[in-house]
Amino acid sequence: MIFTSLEFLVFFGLVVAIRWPMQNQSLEKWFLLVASWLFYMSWNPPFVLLLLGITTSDYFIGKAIARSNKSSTRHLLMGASLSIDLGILAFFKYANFLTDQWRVILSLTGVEADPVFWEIILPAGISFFVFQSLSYTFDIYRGKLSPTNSWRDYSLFIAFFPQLVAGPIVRAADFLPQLGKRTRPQAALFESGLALFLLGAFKKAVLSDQIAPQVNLVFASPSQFDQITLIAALLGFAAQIYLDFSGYSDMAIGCARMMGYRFLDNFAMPYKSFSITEFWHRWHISLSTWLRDYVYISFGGSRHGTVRTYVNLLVTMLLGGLWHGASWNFVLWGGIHGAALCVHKVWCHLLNKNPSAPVQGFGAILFGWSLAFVVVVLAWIPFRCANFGEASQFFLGVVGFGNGTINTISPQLLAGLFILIMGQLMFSKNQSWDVEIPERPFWYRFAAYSFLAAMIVVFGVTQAVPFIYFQF
Amino acid sequence: MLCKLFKSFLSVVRGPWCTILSLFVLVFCSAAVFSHFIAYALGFRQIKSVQQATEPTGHFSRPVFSFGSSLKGFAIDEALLTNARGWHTISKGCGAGSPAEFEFLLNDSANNSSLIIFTSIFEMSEGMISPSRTSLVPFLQSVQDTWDMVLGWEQTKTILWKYPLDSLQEVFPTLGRSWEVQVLARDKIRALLGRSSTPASDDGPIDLNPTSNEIQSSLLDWDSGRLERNVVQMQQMSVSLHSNFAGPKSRALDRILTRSRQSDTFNIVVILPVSPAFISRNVDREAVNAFDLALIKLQDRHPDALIIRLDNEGLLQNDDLFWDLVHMNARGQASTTALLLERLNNTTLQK
Repeated sequence: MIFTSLEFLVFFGLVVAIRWPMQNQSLEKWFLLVASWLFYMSWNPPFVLLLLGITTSDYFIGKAIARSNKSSTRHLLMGASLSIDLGILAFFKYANFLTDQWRVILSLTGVEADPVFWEIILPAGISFFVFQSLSYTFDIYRGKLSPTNSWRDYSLFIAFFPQLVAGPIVRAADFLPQLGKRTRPQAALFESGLALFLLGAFKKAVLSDQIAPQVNLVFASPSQFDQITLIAALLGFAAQIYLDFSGYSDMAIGCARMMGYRFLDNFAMPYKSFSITEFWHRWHISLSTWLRDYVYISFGGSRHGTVRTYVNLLVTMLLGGLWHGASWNFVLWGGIHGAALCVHKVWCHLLNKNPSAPVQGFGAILFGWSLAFVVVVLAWIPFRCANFGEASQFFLGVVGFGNGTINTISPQLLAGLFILIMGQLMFSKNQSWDVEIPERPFWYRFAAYSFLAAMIVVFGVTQAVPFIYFQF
Repeated sequence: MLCKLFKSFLSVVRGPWCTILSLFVLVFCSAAVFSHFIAYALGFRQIKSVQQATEPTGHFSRPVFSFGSSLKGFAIDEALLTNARGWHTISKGCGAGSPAEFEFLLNDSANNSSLIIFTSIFEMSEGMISPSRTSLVPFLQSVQDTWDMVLGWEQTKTILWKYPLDSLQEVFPTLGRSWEVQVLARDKIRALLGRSSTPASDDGPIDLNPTSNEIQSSLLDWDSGRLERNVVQMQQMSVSLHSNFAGPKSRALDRILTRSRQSDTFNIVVILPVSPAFISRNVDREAVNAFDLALIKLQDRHPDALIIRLDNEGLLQNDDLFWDLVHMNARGQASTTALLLERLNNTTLQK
């Protein structure tokens, strides 16, 4: 059930309409929980059991960690939570990949193996809800969070349908307190949610889905296309993945807001970043902060010297790449970003600057933006290509060493790029439309919403095109 | 005036929820008006579900009914065929039509001597759904067919959601037709700039039968970029790669042939060719085998029906005979009609 599909609009409309008159808070939460399970079952019904399993195990482990005073027991329980969650993730996501790597290692030693590859269906959103559940036990283990006494509340935190399939990765500390008090949708919050949902649908159905077929065409066989087409497709993919994922996040946050719940932002104009460090403060924020808090800091963060800091950063980004999928391409993507972050840190260290501090001066801004943008865009090549071979073909084509001759730059691609560039130029990095628009006069809001709605009904793609991040 | 009225309405019913509701209604209405305006300004074609042509060439008590989509109109010179065979033909069809839709066009076609159904691998694929499906096939029939044929959830959902989606198109005529909007807008801009439109529109044929302009050019005139873009567009029209030939369409064809046989009608199924460019990019070997198997099973169930496969004719496997990826041009039409006549002449037909 994709957010831009008619079936989701019907489902969501029913959920809001049925929940609205409910007076009993407990009943309301049970209703949202059952609706979330039904939402998840629309992908593959049996996998709801997996969701229930992870939820239940971490709920009880969390309680046990909080009860235990012995450090060794807490270690053991945290290890159990990690093993269960990561074990499930590893099985569904990486089993065949790991088997294949084992085969490659054996063949390098001269042993030809013919391993069995399972036909494993990846449960929708598994990477997201596993990370969300893990953050709960981690926070209790670190003493930052008290466990909830309600299995229902914990289940709703994990399964709440707006964020279930592709995030944002919500933290228990942000969400569980919202379940503690009765949340009635307020008019201003509802409108802000509706505005965000409309904006997200515009990004997804009008922009991303129009660009997608043209980008897919070029990435399917990059060796056929000439340099300019490859560059256009690469920029097109940069636009597509941002519009697709930030559009999804906007819709998820918008849905939650319409029901009275608040999620933190997941994107903040990432392509306007003046450095790669800033890019990671603005791109997929819920994942980057998760990796920082639970991987980078767990490895020691910056507490063990300069070299160890860089190693920790690189390993964190490599794992972040692997989180996206079982392929060396994603590892390479993570590696490029990790290396770029290290280089930026070294550069800032040499200049005695804080990597997160704002860049000053026109020259520095232009240089920083160009460099960060080129690195980010080029890193999308291994991310999007099916394998190393295609990625290297694509890269060679982009830098002018390809043999392809087909030139096909579609009007949709040009229009998408134009809108993206105008969006970058016209709007401030810190502008939050969903907050700003509802505060404007009636006619302004009417014009803004009408524009978005009109674009969706005229240029929107209605075929259900899955969000890119659903595959992760 | 309207603004004053609206303000007075607001002054009566105050409160934030009222403002939001008013906004919602106004935005909904303005989007609908804009959609209608765009459809009107671009000269949106009203998709006719049924087009009918009668070619009486004699006084026959029992006419020949011919069903097909625009593929038939482009591939077969029906006037020539009718005259050569001395038939009284009543021709019916709809855009991207398949037996699932033809079955309901057949309802008023009793007492015919022969029934000819023109179709192709493109139209028989269950992943490809005609825009006329919802206006011709009752919802409950679609529910029953998808249930009986155990279609996958994705395909079932796509077929059944088309019904409410088409109802929404009454309010927003451009909804789900962004490709058409873009092609028509491009042609309008070209016309405004004084540049002629492309010889073959990327939006497919306007009518079930070709115009003289459409029938002259060939797929070989297309540059590779245009070909690739159109291949992508064709792939988007389909739920999946063409590979499933067991669903509501094959079931409807089965029913048509069974019913016709019971009323003493001679059944002919003609499989039309599509371009090699389309086949190479949209249909893999597995799909071709599945299609062959579906036709063999059909022949087994209906041994008295005549199945003529023009899609396997080597002579027609040439992109130069096609106007776009699936429609033939004048040369293709001449060759296909001649081949069909030859096959029909070699067969003893009952009149």
